[in-house]
Amino acid sequence: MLKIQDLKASIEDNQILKGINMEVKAGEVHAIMGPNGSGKSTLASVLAGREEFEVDGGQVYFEGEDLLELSPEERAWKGIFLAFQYPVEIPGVSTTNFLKSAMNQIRENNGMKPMDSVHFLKHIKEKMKLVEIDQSLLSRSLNEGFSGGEKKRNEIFQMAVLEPKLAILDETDSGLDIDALKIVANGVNKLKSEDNAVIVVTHYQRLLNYIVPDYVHVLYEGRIVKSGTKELAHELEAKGYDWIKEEFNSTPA
Amino acid sequence: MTSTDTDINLIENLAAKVSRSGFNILNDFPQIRDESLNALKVTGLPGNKHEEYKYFNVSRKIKRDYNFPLPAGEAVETGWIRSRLVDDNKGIHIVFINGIYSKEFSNFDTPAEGFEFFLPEDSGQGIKYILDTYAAERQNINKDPYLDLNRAFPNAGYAIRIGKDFDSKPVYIYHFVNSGVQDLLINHTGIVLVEKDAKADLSEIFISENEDHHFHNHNTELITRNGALVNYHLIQETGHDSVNIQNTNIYQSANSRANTYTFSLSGKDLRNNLNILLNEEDCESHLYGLYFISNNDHIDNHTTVDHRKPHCYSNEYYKGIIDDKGMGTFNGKIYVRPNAQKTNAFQSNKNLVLTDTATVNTKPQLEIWADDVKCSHGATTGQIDEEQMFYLRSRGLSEESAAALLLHAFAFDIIDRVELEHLRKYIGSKINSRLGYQFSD
Repeated sequence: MLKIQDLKASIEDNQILKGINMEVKAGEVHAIMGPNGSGKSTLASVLAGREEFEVDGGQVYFEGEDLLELSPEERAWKGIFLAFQYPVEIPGVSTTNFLKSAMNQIRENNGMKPMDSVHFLKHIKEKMKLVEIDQSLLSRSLNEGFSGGEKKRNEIFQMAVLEPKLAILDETDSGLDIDALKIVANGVNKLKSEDNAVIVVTHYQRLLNYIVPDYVHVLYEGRIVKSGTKELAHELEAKGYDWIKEEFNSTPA
Repeated sequence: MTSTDTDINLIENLAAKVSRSGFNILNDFPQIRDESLNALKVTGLPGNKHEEYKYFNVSRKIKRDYNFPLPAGEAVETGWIRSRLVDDNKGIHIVFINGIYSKEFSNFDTPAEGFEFFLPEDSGQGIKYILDTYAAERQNINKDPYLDLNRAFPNAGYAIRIGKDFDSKPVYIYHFVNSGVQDLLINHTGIVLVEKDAKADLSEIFISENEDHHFHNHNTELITRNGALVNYHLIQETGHDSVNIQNTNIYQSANSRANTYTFSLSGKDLRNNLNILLNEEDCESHLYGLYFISNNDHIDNHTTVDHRKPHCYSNEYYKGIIDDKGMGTFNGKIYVRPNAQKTNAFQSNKNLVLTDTATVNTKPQLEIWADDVKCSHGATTGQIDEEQMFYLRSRGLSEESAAALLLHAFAFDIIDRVELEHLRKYIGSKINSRLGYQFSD
């Protein structure tokens, strides 16, 4: 589904990603872990098409297509979804306000008919239950005055509504208490299928107790320095990141 | 500032024609006309050295040989007019075309309870009462050359009295200019008296189909008596070679509330001088504005809120969207006079510029002489937020629809404050169609 080859990216002449290689197949959950400043969020942003980042080298293919050539909306139309680490506040725009248009633009670009209001309402009601989010929150200005947990839950709600092929969760666990964490994880798990994939970007192992990854990658200094299974996450939780740093720094690049 | 040869020429030309212009609302006040004419002769029209007209210099566009509105003029093409009226069956619609009252398009046939409307040729106690009240209330607050031009050479105009027993029908006053009229100068004055405890929803709508040069110089004098509530809406949608200067003076009495809503949508040179006088205690005033300017159009909003007595509240909130090579100016003055203690006065101006060639000048000015007051002001100018754009696009909205959605939200922050539903839709649909906004709410 997703193939990243030697991806290099920088911001303001500061190289953050220094050659990332990874492959995600349909049905898989990948976790990307790493210490602060290792490039985790940059990778998520580059995949979603954030324009501040300059891609200096490498390729990213999504279902065989060159992803880096596409605008953020074209990536969404192909089925990529980024759950933001810091969801923006937009005064005067409610979630339901833009989500129907977003969904119908995705549908139209995939040769499907737009969903009418009745079906859309039914669709979002189902998804609201899934992430235990309240109607009143969805008709308020987007994220304005929302608590940290409400913002993250709204991200997962939107993911549920749009049903992407590849969801990238950028530190969705940060700022969540344990109850909210369970709700968010539960939502993600229920949406999981053989046809879609999830990349979970996180600093802590905590979320991975609930969203169980097939693969864990450790990002450090802009490179994936270690890959493994969920046991690697437990090891990181127990030992911290220092041994990774030492191992990396003692090995010639 | 002194008058130039061009100004003198203009004045002489207008003076020669003025006898032909017939009745005007200031007929009985020759002293107002003389006072304004003398002032105009001395000052002339302002160039860009004039502090208040630094960004609004139309003096070079002013023609010497203007035509006043002529009632017996050429047949007027009116096919388009009906479609431009606000779709409100319950409203009172008063239509002027090229500066002349149109009985055909106005629906004011039978006087409504508590509502009186007069043209300058009317006589009798009704109009005399309004004009006498105005003469007593009037203060020479703003020495403005274009207001002097308006008063020195007045044509037509109207007077309205709204009483407590009026059933609050919305009143829409339209000023249409249609195609093919060359160098028309309209110096209208509207005098509106809103009586004690009365409620009035008043709209003044300027629309021109005319792409030829014309100059609409309008003055509205609004007197709100004790306990009155007035919503005054101004909508400007004029041609790309037009000058539209709107002076509005609002004189507020105790416990009155005046809300103004100013929507400037198009026009080569738009200038609004809005002056609110809080003359007595416990007045409240909200000033809302939205300007959405493109092409080479220019909007200049000058507002003054004059707190003259204690315990008054004013809140001003103007937003602007400037596209293409448009230029927007906001200049908001708040005066708090020495004895106007316990004043609350707030002001905010926010602008979005959509291109590198669009410009905004914003200048808040607070002059406070009282010590026990709460005042604040703020102004921002920026572009569409990149982070918000990325967020919406990453959800699947095209760049165009994401921008339309954000601009819609920015504009409707003001539009949604209009209480009249028909008018809110009228303005909203104009904004939405310009934005290409296609979201369902």
